[in-house]
Amino acid sequence: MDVRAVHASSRVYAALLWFLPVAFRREFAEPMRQTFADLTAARVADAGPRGMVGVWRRALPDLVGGAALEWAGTVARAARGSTSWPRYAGAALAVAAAGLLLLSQALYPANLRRPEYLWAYAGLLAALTGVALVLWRMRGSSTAAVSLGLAICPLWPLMYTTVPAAPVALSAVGVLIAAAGGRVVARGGRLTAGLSASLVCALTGAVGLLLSNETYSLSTMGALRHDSGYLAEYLHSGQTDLAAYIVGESVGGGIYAILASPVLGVALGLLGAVIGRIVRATRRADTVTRAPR
Amino acid sequence: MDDPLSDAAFHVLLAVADRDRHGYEIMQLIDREPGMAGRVGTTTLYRTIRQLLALGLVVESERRPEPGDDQRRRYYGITGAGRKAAQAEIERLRQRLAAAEATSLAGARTPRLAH
Repeated sequence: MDVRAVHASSRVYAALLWFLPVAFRREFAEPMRQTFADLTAARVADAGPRGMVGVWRRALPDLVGGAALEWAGTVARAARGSTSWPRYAGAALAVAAAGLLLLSQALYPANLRRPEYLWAYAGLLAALTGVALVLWRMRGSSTAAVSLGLAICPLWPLMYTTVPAAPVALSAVGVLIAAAGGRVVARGGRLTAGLSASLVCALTGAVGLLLSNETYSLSTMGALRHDSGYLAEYLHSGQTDLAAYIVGESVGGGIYAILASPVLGVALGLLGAVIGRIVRATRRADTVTRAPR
Repeated sequence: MDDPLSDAAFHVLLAVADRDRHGYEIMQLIDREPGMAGRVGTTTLYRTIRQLLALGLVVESERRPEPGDDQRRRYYGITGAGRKAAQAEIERLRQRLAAAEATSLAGARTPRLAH
């Protein structure tokens, strides 16, 4: 077999090593490439093209599996050693929601001809950019605040059900937002830190609602086209494109949630802060009572 | 080191036990071990070597056993701790084998002479 084919094979393998995490690649890419080249040359000398195929059949699954394990280890180590993941997670959620919004408009662009929708979408994109920046830069983007915000997401579908699930879910959302700020104040944090945590929690939850709405409408577009309830509302709206109507409706809920979330975050953050202060005062009194004389 | 070694780590230590070797040599030796043919690919090999380096069981060697060898090749050698870990693993395997031999299963698998 041609020596150039062996070299080309090694170059392809070297290129695939870019899928490995940087630290591992820096340390071992060159010896790995060298070992692969030695192996290929030996197998090709023994068995010709079949030897080359055999080398790749062994190398590819090994590389894919090894890269996955290396990445999993790298991410786990980064998560353990860093406190910045909540900031990235919240911001990434907002960026993903903005990306889905753009995708939905690219797939179903009929609404873009309507000025009121155009302004709403542009405003929503600007708002999501702002939310991403706030979640990324804000000090309140702690593990607890973002986790409580993410915990809100599964509650959203319950909001569309009937009594008693809907009011229970609504109350749970309020409790989670208040808890984000309350726990900060209860642990001795300042009022602004508590409000900031509640704001982050509310924004994360609102972005989660928008993201789930968009995902739901895009993934179930076919089914919604035959939903009698949706069809009746669509006919009543006077619009001329059903798909664009469905997308517009799904985005609408997210817009209200994003607009309402700062107000909710601050209001419930204040409530949480008051409760946090009471908890802190109670703990102090308890400590004083138990202190040895 | 009390934890059992992984199959790949144990075989890498065996491969470098007698002299320093580079990656391809290590792979060749592992391939020749019973039941190990094709089980350790290049990525697995270097992930294992990285782990052994971190544990101090092998070291990268500057020596070139063969003069004129490709300078880009990296050679690895066993350390004192690596030797102890491999010996502990061998002892563990001996004990497991002894325990297995003591059961009726081992006897049943022994071929009997026909008369």
